[in-house]
Amino acid sequence: MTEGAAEETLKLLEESARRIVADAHPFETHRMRAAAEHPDCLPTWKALAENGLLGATVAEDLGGAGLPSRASALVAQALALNLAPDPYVESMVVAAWLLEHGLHPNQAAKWLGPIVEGASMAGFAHGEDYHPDGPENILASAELRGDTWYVSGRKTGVRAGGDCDWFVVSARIVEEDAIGLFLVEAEDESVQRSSFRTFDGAVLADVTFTESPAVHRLFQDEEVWRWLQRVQNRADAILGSQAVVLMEKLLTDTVDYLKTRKQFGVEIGQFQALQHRASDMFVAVEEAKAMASLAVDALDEERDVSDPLFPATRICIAETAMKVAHDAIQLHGGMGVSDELFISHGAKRLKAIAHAFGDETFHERRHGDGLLAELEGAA
Amino acid sequence: MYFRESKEDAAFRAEIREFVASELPRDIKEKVAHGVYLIKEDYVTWQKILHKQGWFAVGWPKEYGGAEWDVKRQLMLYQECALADAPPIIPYGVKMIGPIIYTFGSDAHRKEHLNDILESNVWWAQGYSEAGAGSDLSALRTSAVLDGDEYVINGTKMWTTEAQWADKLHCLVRTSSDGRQQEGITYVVIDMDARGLSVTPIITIDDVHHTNQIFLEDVRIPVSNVIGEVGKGWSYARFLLGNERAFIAETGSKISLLNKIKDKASDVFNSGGRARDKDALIRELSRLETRLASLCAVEKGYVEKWIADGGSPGPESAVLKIRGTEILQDMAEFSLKLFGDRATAYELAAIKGLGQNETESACATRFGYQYLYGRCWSIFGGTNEIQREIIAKQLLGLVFK
Repeated sequence: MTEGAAEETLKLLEESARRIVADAHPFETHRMRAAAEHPDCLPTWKALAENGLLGATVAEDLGGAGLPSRASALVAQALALNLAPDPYVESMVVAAWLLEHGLHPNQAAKWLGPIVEGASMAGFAHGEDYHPDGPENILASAELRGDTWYVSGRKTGVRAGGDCDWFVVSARIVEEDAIGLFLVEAEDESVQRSSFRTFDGAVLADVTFTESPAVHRLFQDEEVWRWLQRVQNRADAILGSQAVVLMEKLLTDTVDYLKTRKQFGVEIGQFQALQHRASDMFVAVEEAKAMASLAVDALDEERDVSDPLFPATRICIAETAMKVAHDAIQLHGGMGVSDELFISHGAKRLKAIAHAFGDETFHERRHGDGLLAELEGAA
Repeated sequence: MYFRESKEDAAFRAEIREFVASELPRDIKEKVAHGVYLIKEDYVTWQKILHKQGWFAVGWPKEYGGAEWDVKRQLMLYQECALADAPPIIPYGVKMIGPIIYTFGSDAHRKEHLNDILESNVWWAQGYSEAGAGSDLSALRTSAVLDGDEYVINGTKMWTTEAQWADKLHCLVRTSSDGRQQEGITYVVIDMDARGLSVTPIITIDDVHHTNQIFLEDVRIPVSNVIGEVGKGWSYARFLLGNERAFIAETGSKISLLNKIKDKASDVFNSGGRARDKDALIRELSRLETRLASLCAVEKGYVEKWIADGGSPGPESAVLKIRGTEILQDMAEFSLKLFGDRATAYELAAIKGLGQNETESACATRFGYQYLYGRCWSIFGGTNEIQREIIAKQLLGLVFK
């Protein structure tokens, strides 16, 4: 495909993703849904699958469209912009990608087909109370008995875990002193799930595995932690893109509000104090946009798994996203904290993004580890 | 930082790097590397070397002796020069009055001035601000009154940086008080040795003489010293401000400063200094590096956009000015933490030159110099608050009747 044709494909994909998600999950639906005690986790999943969007970046011979990573960013952005809670990042960008690369090609085709069609969904069961920052944080264990691996342990905060058909589970292989990734059936009687809702209208689950049989071990003899680092980088870039589109929306809404809301007889946008805050929001959006864009493009380059671009993107996003979210609320005054406008919902989603796959402190430490190694090596 | 360039760009960058490495005089490089104050001769020497290579007025049209590089190539040049510890290019001639003269001046002006600018034979100063006209620049009151075929100029100019070295002043003066305050402003050239012109040093927060106040008492210039049309000076100045801003982030010198801070941090940690604060300091440094990487990413995007839009920088450069100066100030402030009890060391001799034996206090002094002078950056060239006005009005459309 020529560069121009590729750009055109992505542009069309962006338009259709935004339209499809907006139709499946309009704002009023979100308000009703998110307020429910047991919100639906997958309001757009079927529509995404039917329109070929779930498999946008999955290889063509596995049933996908084989597009560059930017396509994932565009699908994820459509979801974020419409506040849809569907676990696209966890289930497609991460779990499906691990299956795509970690299974034997024949097996991969068998598993990816139904996933791309939306007939089956895999979740990513990785965190154990906290997002793991090293292999030593993974305490769930896997044991080989006969031909079958059995996984035991408790995984937390699995996005849409209650709706998953399968889990890609990280677990420690004691005999090998290594981390493995296992595909476990969610409906197995040894698997217990306990769901909780989140303030941005999503549902996460704590999942307990008790000698749960795995149908596959991914990446057999490869070093799995490196694949988990790559997965982290993928999540960083795509989550960053999601944050950007929400930040842009919050800024646009805020500027519109400043132009129309009147107090003291004038539009409040005439007040310099508010103009300058809006300008600082603009600056923050520009930074986030530039970094997320670099990170997404970097996914398709041969980068070292510990490239500082990825944690730097998350640090930048965490800092700028919450600045924009909180300023958007503040500049809207009372309306900013009401459930009626997009503002409060967008801000909550940004907060959720800032805590997904590691929070700001996590990414600072991660970036700092690399920096310290550089400084100590410089002597 | 953190991004890959095309093969073509990387090759171009490598060519610049090689040239700077072989042609930059060692003594000048040493001074810049250590953050020592540069004298006029240092700048002129380097600018002449660049000109000889054809890399001085790189943004000028070829017909006036330039290289007609796009903003991306220009940016690469400035970055590589800064990373190799070359002196920055002094903007008052080549980046300010030069483009004004070839764009708005007469053929006679071009003949008279452009070659001397290209060859760095004439040092220019910029007479814009006044005591009562800083951010509100168009309120300037220095007057030029026509008397036969001469203008008689009276008033005072503030913050004329390096005017103590200058041969000529390009200057905004008021030729009429009618109409809006932006009207009636005229762009003129004044010889620094003109009778009635005097220069008084202003010593800044860093104890150094960078800038000045200029007094103009019945200074007479021929009408031919008016650049462009009488009364159009404000629009020329605005053109210039737009022109100047593409490289305002000065990412090269900031990456260079970050590298120096990292080297120092490396020394401190490896010698066991601040062991218990190491994690906290590393986190601060991570944040600084991240912010600088974000600035570079924004700059990269803007340069691509400006080239696609026809080559001229847009109002987005206000973003670069705000973040660039804030990041510089944050880095310089952070660097002092690496010097412990010597953080506030300030020995003027260490700023003025390199000693035989470099002491820790001399090293601390030069970071202190960055810190102190760093406070100027968010003020000159349009304060960061003026930049926020530009964003609010031109990019967010917060304009009301």
